[in-house]
Amino acid sequence: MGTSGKELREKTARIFRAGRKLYGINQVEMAKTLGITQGTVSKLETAVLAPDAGVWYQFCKHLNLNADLTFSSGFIFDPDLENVQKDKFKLGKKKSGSKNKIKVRNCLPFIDTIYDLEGSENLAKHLKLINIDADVFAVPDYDVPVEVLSEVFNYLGELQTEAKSLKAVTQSFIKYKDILYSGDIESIEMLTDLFRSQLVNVNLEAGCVNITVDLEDNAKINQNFLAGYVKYQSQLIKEIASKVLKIDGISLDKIDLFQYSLRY
Amino acid sequence: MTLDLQFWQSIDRIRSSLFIDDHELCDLLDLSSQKIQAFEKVQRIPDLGNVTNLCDRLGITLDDVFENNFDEKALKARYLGDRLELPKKYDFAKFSKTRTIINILDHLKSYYGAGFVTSLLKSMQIDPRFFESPDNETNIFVISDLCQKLKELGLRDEDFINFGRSSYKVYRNSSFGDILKSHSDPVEMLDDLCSNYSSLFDKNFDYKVTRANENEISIDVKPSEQAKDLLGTNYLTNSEACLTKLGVFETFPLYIGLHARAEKSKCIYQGDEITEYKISI
Repeated sequence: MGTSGKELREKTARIFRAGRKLYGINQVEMAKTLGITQGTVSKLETAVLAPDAGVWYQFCKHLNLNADLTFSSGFIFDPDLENVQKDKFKLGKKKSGSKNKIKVRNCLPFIDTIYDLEGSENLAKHLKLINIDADVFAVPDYDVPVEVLSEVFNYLGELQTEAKSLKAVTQSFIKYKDILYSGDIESIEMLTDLFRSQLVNVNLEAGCVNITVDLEDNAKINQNFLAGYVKYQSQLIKEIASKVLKIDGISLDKIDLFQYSLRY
Repeated sequence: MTLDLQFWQSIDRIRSSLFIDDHELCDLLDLSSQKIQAFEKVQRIPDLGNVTNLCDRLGITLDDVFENNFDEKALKARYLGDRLELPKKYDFAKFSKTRTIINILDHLKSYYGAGFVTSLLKSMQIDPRFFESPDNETNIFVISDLCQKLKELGLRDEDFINFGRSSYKVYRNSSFGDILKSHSDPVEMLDDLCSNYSSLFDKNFDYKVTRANENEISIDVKPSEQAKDLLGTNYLTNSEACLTKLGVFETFPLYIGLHARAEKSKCIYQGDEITEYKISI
């Protein structure tokens, strides 16, 4: 075990913590599995130490994770995530009870933007204050209550203007597209698929993309957040279509507070 | 097998298959030589960042390393490329097959390890893969430079003779060995060899049996006109390479079950007009 590279230590520390929580293993059990002491596990999880490659390999094997992908992406991708017991991360009582869920990957461009603005420590502190375990963001396919996204979205709104945020979130989305969305976005169909979520409907018609929120399904979600979020997602689709797909002459029309139409 | 052991076995395999010397391993793992030695001594695994650096550079995965499960051919193609080129000074007048050098290298490997051989060839700027096939061709300067380097490293005359002696292991079951075995008399064998088959093992020199009786055979060796002309010198090799040849001559009677000793009675590199070997049966 060494102390190399703060970035590497923080990256692996988050995976160690998130992996252990996700699979319901305590530090003592993890130490036993990896053939190290509980103190060393603690140091690995707090980024005091970097793992040697053997410890990392054993850790990933034990959790059935791809050692290379997990390290290079900094995320936990588990094809059997559906079978892993949920509610492994502390997300606050109110939020945990919510029926409306969204994938962590939908939160990541926002989290990444906040991380760049505030740094990892401040981000973690803020999330802790609002009872969100930051480690959940290491698992892109984990379902979190929509309120988590709402908190993150509002937090970003407090930090900078919408225009600046949009630019940064777009860049973050592009940065993550290879890791989170398996490569290039080659068509408007692919793009609409990526943005379709439990919260936002994205439908493609001839020369037009309709972006809406189903208010009936999301009746208990803060309406201001929903209006802001659907606007934001609509603008984001427009930006990606323009920057990544290089589609010229795109126009975004607001139909109402919860419905937008993108024409191309 | 423990993970630590498995890891170092993989590293050894990578080292030998890619002909990586210590300096290159340091570069691939982004670690100092002292640290690598310390890790290897106690069979400890380096930090994740160092091992992933190696994986990225070689295009293999952590699984490949820890399961010792990578395709050597693909690895070589990725890391070393497909082209095998000799330095210019070895890439003309190519009258020597790599067979003899492979024999010497194998001998060196068994004594000093694969790393020694890799370093040696790299110091001559030769891709070690060149010696994977016995039918590749070089000029004779490869063997003379190799012998010169080995002499500088402290090898003795007896070592060079032993290189030649070990050729018996290589040739005894080859078509060349079959030609030798087809004779019953050593004089007849060597005469036939020098007159008709010398090109099979060496096109750089002309060989001639000059004197022979039942106990002793003398063979004169001088550079071929063609080799002298193309290589631009009368001095094709050096004294140490001659000793290797002496060891080879000593083995010829063995093919028909006779033991012999050979000596070099004249040497072109010591002022004589020709090099002469005397083989005592």
